[in-house]
Amino acid sequence: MHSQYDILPCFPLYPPLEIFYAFGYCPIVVWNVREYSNSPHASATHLQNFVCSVARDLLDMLCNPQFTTCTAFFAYNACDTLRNLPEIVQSAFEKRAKPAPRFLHLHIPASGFRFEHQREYFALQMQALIKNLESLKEMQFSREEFSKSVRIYQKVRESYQKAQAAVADGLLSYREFSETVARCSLVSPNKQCEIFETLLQRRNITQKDGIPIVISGILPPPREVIEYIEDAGLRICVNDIASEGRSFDTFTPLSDDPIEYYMKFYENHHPCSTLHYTADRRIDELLKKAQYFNAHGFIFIGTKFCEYEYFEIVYMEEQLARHGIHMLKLEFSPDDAGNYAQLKTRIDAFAELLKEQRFGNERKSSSQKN
Amino acid sequence: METKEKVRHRKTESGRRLTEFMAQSYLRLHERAAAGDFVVWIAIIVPAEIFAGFDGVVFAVPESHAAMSAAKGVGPLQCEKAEKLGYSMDLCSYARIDIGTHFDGEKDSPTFGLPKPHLLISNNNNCSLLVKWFDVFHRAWNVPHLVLDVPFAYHPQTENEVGYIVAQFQKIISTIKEMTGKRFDIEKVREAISYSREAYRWWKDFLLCATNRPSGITAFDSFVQMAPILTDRGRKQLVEHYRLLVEETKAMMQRGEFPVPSERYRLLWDNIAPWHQLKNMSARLAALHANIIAASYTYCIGTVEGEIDLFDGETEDPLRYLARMQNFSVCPMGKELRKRAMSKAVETFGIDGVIFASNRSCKVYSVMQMDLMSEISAMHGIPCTMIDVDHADIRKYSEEHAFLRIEALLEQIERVKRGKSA
Repeated sequence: MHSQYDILPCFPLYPPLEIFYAFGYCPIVVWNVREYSNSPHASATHLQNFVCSVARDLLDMLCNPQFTTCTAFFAYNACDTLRNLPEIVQSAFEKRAKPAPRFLHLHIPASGFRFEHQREYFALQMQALIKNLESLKEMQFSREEFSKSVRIYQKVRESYQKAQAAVADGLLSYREFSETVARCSLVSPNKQCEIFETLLQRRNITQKDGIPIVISGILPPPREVIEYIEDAGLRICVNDIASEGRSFDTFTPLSDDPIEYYMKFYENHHPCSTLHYTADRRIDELLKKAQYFNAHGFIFIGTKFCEYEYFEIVYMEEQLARHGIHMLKLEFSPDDAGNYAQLKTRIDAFAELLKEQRFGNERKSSSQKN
Repeated sequence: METKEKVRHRKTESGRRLTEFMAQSYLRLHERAAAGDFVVWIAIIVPAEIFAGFDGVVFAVPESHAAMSAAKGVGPLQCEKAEKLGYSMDLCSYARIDIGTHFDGEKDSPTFGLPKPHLLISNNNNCSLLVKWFDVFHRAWNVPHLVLDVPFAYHPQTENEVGYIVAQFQKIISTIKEMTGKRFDIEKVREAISYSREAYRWWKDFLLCATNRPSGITAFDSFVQMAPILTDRGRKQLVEHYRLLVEETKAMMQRGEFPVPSERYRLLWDNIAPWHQLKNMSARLAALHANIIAASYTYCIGTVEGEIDLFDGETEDPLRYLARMQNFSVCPMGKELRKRAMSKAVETFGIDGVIFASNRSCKVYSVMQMDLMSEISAMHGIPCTMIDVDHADIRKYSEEHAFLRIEALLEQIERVKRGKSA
């Protein structure tokens, strides 16, 4: 964990990181952070057991004494659970006799940015956020600093994309990649670029002949499960994990105007089940990518109780099946740790199915040629 | 307990009229749709009064249909149909009932389903998942879907938010105009709002019958009687229904007829109604001299953030009034606002204890209940308990587990009462 910066915990999924960095914060997106939560879990006294692991881990991490020194945190209207959580975080601090951090907030128009009223409202929201940051940090917003910050995050995204491309080409294992992304979410953007550079230097042929697949979900699967997937000869070519591909696959034109920048950022964001206005283009974009890599397998990594994902997956499965893409649905909850071995058989069987299909297709095309 | 008050057993006149009202409401909806009216499916918070501004436009409310299905005992049957299509059992049971019904050709529905929509309008402040739920139909039937985006209320609505919401109402109006070619008359909306306001006024009078000791009503009465507000907002008949409801309830109270004459424990309910348990739970509570006399689910109707009293502002501009009323439900509110409203309810109704119904089918209502529970208990010095309930899927409810906790709550209340009297 980086300690020389003023850390700003941000609730998932896609916070406006650049603006915080421009104000001298080191924003960290708090997800996939189980290892930083204290035991016994603070969340057990504030959240029912049907709340997803993202929210529970987030609360546990923020209640970790290492984080209770934070002066502020950020959340936007990502989902129903996450919108309820800021006041719970504040209660959790108060109940532990700690000063509650200030809650920075942004409402992202759930119906998109096509109309004037949506853009106007979003602009007002961004102005209010900047004003709050100015008062919190006792400094004026600087276009120059924002522009620098945008460039640094652009570099982070480029590094991520190169690494993901290496995974798709079979030059890097997904396990290494996924662990690196998780580590990067807790450090400054400059450090993230360095870490990715080191990762890219380790490229070598690992999975060139692996069967190409798509992986989708909110969080990546646990390490053991990633190993089962790769050991079964499957290669992750399309990354639709919210904390990975969906977070880093959006490129936004450089700008020193945060309102203009974030309107484009959110409007053209990589589709996600939580960004309602992207829902209609999501399946088309995924299909396009799957077809590009000739991927005939799709592994859905379900985060237990994430209803956004579970509503959409039925339609996704139907559409993918129409295009000859098979789906394997796996589900994880925080208390599953240690019970993953039973998934190995399912993953192996899925890999067999895809291999059979691939060889079948190859036999078919060679007999057609003959 | 010595009492001359009589137990109210039979279905009341208001209950009989409600059955007739709802039957007529659904019948009218089907008839008008069959006659060619433009059908809009809406989430409950979407301002239904807007549709009164058009001739030949009707609205249907899938959530209300799901609640009625659950109350009539077909909840699990319809849920299972959705589950067979691949929808997870963890999803909202209203959504599963609705999806199960409509993809099975409206079979087993107590209202013969709903007429197919020409337009879908969901909103996200009451529950963001309504957007995903309506998207299922948008994709299956290729019907346009508008999302009414209302910012979550950590504080009472701001002027910027009112403006943003009004602009979205204008978009709804222009979309319907484009799709139907019909003209829009704002005066008819104004008239519809006046009926809704008047109905809310009677509704509040009805709920205040619970301030009497013993209470003149149970929260279960309010659960069933709220149905017309969802399906018939903006109609004159609504006013008449609630006026008669208040008159009849007061007349019964004057005659000494009370739902729980031996009432010793006055309880508050927090969450959606347990539709499959209306009779069971109320009867079993009555036997324990307990009455759930109020519920956050019903006292929020006609109010705005953090209040339980009727919202009487914005009398000039109909669309601004409707924008303010976008937060009339509980779920659009943050914890502090919910706590403020609940505190007022505890004081107004003289509540002895609160039942927090932790509802895994409605996370938006339930997440934050654990903090709310400890804070309300500390603020008012009243015991609270949490039970597991699914509002529409009885498969996720255990009566014995629930009553074990409720009985423990009553014992705690008894101790508090004894402590006070000592």
